[in-house]
Amino acid sequence: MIADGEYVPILKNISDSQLFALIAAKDDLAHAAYRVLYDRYAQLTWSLCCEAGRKMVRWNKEQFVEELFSQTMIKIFVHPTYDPIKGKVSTWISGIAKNTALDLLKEWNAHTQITVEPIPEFSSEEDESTTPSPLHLLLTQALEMLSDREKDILLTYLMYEDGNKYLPGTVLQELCSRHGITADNARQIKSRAMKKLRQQIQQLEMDK
Amino acid sequence: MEKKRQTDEVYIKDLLKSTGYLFPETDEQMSIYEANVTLRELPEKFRSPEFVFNAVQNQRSSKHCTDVDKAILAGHIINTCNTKDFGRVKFQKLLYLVEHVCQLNLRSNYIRQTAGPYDGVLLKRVETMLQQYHFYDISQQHTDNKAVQYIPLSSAEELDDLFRKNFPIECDMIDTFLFKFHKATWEQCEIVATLYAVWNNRIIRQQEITDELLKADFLAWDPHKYKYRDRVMKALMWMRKENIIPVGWGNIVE
Repeated sequence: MIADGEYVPILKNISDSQLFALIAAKDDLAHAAYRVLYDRYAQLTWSLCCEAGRKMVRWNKEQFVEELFSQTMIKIFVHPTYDPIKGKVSTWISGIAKNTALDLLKEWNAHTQITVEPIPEFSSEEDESTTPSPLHLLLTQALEMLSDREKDILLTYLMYEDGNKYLPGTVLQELCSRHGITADNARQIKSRAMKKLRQQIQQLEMDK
Repeated sequence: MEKKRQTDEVYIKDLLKSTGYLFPETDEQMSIYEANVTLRELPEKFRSPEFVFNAVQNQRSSKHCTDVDKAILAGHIINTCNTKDFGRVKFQKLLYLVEHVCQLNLRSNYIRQTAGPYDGVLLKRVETMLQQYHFYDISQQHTDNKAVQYIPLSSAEELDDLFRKNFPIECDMIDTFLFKFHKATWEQCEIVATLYAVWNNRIIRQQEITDELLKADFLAWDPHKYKYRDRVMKALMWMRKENIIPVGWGNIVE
């Protein structure tokens, strides 16, 4: 019997779409094909989860990122429904990670809130293991000009809002009670923060 | 003013998504992100995808079904295998086989009955739920054999979507399995379910397993099984070919 790892060198040169077809077939080559896909995208997915994922929670960030990455990679293996017409594999994976993060978030904050003191802060801190890009740095600097409350409210809105999708009522409620404000206040703070952020970015760009 | 606000929002969102503050959603945002990101090293435990394979295996073996799950699964079995001769025997045997082959926890308690493994409580519960959720009506004919028919109700059309939603991990495995029984008669289902049960019993009891011993157990199940004496070996061969081989999962059927 051939171990699935032994197929990996043969599959290394085939396209992403072909790999997805092999994974979807769920036959002997599925594991080997997934190993190749994993080699291609796991690090990028991990980086995304670390950067975007860890900003979504207020506590237990490391566990959240690990859970998010793990669930995302499992979903890709279980539902390899990538369609090349719709775009890049990495964009497709990012969409899966985002949906997974939002699902995970529902239980995460509710579950961990009880054991950890709820300090309302939306941290934009980075870990020091990577060098941020100039664009990233610019954004970080601009975000630092906002208060924790503004950052929290703005980024929570932007995380959920997308086209016709709006901030779910439960999330808005939680956001309001966290900051002791009404829903109307939250919307006003979001708009103000947006304007402020835009101005900060323009200012920083001019200063460069 | 409104337009200006929207432009601000689009610009900020685009920037946040291109830098990884939020998840990139378009190819353009992703390309900017990929061009600028310094990839992070994977932690030791994520260096290989073994955790994915293990998790999928574990999830398959730990699906605990609620009453709604049971009704959806039952409805899906009927939807998939509703041939002309589809009745209670075929339904019950397929439910037993799906539960055990796909390792779903239906909290069942099968006992030995003439036609094979049987759980009357589970069957009754599932049939009640099928009617309650307007998936299927159960109609018993007033002939000698009192055959049961499953008649689709208003919500039967939604079953496929519900099945995929409630069994996201297991759906492919269940469908692959059910496809093998798509055209099977109720007698074939009875033979396979009974053979599976006696085989599984031997694994759980850690007894010797040979084709002859399995055939003997099968015939000893109930005197009525004698009529299948010439079909047992062929059924065993077919089960091996189709990889319907028990692993000792579940309880002993006595």
